[in-house]
Amino acid sequence: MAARSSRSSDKTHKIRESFFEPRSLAVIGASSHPDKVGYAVLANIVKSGYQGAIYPVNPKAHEIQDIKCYHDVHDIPDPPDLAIIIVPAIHVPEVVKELADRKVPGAVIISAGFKEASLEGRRLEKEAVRLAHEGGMRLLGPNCLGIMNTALPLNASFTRKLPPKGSIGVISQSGAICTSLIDWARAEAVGFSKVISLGNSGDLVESDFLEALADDDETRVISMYIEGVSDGQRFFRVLKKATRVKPVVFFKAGITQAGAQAASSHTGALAGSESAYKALCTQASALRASSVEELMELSRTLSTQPVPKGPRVAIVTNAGGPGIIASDSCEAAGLVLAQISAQSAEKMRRYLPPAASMHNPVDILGDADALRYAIAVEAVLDDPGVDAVLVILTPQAMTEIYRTADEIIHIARSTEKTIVCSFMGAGSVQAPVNRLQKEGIPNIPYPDRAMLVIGRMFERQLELKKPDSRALDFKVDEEGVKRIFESYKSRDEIQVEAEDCRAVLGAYGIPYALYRTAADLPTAKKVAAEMGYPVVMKIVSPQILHKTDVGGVVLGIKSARALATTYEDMMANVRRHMPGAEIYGVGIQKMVPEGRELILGIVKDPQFGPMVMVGLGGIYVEAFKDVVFRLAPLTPAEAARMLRELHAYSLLEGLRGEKPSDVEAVEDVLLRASQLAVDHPVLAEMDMNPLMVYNASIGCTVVDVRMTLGG
Amino acid sequence: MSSVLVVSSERYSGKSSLVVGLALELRDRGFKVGYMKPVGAYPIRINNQKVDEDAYFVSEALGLKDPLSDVSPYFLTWDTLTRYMRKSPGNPQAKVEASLKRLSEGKDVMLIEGAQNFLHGRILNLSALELADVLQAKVLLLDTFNEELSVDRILSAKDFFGKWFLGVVLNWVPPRRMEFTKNLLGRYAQSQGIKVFGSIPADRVLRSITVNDLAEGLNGKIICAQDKGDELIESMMVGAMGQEQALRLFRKQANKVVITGGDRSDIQLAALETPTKSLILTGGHRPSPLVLGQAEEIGVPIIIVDYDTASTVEMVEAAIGHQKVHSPKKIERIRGFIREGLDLDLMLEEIGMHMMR
Repeated sequence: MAARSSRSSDKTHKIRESFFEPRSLAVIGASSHPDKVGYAVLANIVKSGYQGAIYPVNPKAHEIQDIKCYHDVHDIPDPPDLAIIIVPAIHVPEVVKELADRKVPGAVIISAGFKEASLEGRRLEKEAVRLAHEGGMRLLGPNCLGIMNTALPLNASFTRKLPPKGSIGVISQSGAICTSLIDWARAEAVGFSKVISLGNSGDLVESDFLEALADDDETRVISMYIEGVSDGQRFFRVLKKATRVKPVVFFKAGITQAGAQAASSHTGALAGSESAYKALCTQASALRASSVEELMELSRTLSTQPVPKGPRVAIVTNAGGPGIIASDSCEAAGLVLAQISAQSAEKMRRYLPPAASMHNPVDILGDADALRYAIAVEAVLDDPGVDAVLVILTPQAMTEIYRTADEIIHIARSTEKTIVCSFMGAGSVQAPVNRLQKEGIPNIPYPDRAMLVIGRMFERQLELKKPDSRALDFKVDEEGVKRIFESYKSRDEIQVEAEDCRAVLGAYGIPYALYRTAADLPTAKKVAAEMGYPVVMKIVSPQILHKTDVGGVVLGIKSARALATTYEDMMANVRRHMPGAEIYGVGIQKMVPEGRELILGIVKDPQFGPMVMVGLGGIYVEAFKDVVFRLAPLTPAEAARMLRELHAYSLLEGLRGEKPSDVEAVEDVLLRASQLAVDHPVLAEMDMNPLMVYNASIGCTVVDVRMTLGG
Repeated sequence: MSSVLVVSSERYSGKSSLVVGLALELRDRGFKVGYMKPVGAYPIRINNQKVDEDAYFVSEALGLKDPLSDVSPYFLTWDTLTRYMRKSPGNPQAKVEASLKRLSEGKDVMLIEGAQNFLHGRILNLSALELADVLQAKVLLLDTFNEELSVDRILSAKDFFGKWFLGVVLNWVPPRRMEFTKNLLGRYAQSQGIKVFGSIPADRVLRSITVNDLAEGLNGKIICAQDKGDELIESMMVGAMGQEQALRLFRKQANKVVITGGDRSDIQLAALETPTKSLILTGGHRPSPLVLGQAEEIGVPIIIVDYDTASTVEMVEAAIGHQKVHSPKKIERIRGFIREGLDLDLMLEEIGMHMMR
């Protein structure tokens, strides 16, 4: 315990002492009317078997549910470790003040009627948080279901019953999802350690509880239901740390346009983009569940079974079809079918009928009894070439479902390999399945899905092996860029001009094609002569966004004479196409050789801040949408990995005798762009399009770049 | 006493702004300045008296107490125009002359604002040239800068106004062309015997509209951050896309108003995340309390309007850019431009007032 305390932060310590393991509780707004929430919460605390002191507070009662009731907070003999508040919103700030005055370290505000309801509610919520902080108190909620700890036990919520005791720690932004998960957990014999309903997250937020659960010895897996996060950059850091200690399974609601719209009106915050959440999970090694069902299946399996050490799965089945189905999804799950060794096959052959298949999937035939299952499962588990076993059972006439379950439970006790069952069906297998699950062997009734869950568990193993990698710190001219951006801010302008964009790239060591804006022809000639021909000419006008459409881009100008003709033609063309446009002049750019075109950029996510983007460039970009995002700061390992995630990566490697491209140079630009984004939060968006990539060791060059500033 | 008639070749060219700015600058130099607008276009009713909207604003901005019937004696609207076509208007020249006489009492300079362009008012015998003659006023052309047309307009104005022609002020000059107007254009005009007094740059703030004015124009109701009603809106964007596209788009435009439906919380939040001065929610819908709270907290007024999005867009589009200078912020701004960009000494000398300094 001492070791744990020393590595945990003060806040985590406080959450454990006050919210997870309170020795005494005050229930402010406890009621003797069975139809009131204040009644239910007190009753639930008592019924859950909570052993600490309970102090109901209600000025109108002397005794509630046979417990002495106190007139107000000041009446309570000893300040409790935790207060549960269920009074109307309007009274919450004064109650918080009284509790804080008495040095109560934490409170759960179950009451609603705050930020989610009205401007007045928002004010009350802020006031309550302010008063709590003044007195050194922390708050969970308001507008939440409450908190549960199955080990203590404590059910300080208005959900009637605790889930079974176990090792899944649940954090949810939806109280209703908590209630439903608990109901499901009770039916399926899935064990939870803690359940935290965040409500409005007025004070303590998801990151705080994530940190606390990562530090909680009773929690093996953290399971999160999230609609949005409060501080994305902090969440990223906390999540990264948490997943080093234990798996975090993560479900994000609101990922489509319709979903995001619903989520934003539910939480009052812009949901981060789907690309940001995808990047978050990859970079922080969290397991993203694509449905609530997967969230629970994966959490359950991770909480009861060891993670497979390798990708090799053996299937034991009493039917051919389901074995094939499982084999099919093996590859999709990132796994391989294990090669059963000759010794293991021999072991099985002695006891199994000759028609049985000793290869993977091991088919022990439709008439298999419990003994056959035991022999096969034990044999494949003993095989050093097997990392996980999927046991499939179809309820046939001769099948001994109960006894088979018992055999598996027995075998599972003496192995460190992963076992997942897929007892198919619902009626006749239900009772044996319950038994399996109670003993910590998850049953997933569809073999393809069971295989996918094993695959996700293996992902966890891969992530654990990933070496730690840190962002680099390039020597750059940070101050110079700051001055450029500040000059825009002082003029209240947000679009950075072409020449300034290049200066920014230069300051961060990102190679770009020489470029200068010329207000008239004589200047253009002078600039081109200095750069050396051939050059490119581009029209410069704030109103012209699609330069090529109006004849505003000409490549390969080889001489001063050609430059003059081009200039005149371009001006005439542009005037004809866009008579109203304000023309600043022309941009003269050094012509760069052809290479492979990529797009690199920075996009600011409303929740997670700057993201670095890379994608296939050129004219097919819209069609293929081959882009990969990562949250900044980017580590060298991540830069390398994101590039390899592109479908177009094979083009960079060189196809059919082509020379490979300078991938290292691109990775360098990615890392420098990441540093630029982190150093200058005012940079809302940057597009380097195209980035011309040349053969290995020749480098790459930004041809065009745009930047937009914003808070 | 000297009179200067400020004319333009097109409407919405910024005459009222220039007049207010000039008047205040001249006052600072110790001159007593009067104002009149003989031919108005947009009458409003003040204390049961019809008065041109611009004329009323200028009088108020300058704190003048003259009778509005003198400051703004005639209007040309469809109604009055058809009336004058049926029945002679009498002798407007005499009436205007008399008004000017009363208004100019005790003044050093009279600034007279022309009608919508310098031909406007002819039916009343009050077109710019006629006014100059009757009121003995020097004509100052305010030309909205156009790369191809301005030079010819300036040359023609000199021919047109002849001895009454005072010179030119260029308005709405793109910053990149300020240099051109100062040097090449200025020198060329001088060689043709024309005075260019200077240039006023194209400026987003001068084109902008206040949140309050916008809300009023839309019959809308501001439901939060009412204290930010004076903030200036420069542009408009419509939110009907997904959240991510909205964010990318909204980031590219500062000081804007975003128009969207009351039920699009995601768009509303995206707007609040980017440089936005106000949100207009159409169809009479109220936002969710969470969005409302957010807007109140960061001080972005939300305007609820009953129109649908398409009509609202049309109305807002019409409002932005055709805005009057009715805000103290804008007046300060134009004064700054006048101080920096116009040669007032030269102008005073040309109207024979330099001795007064």
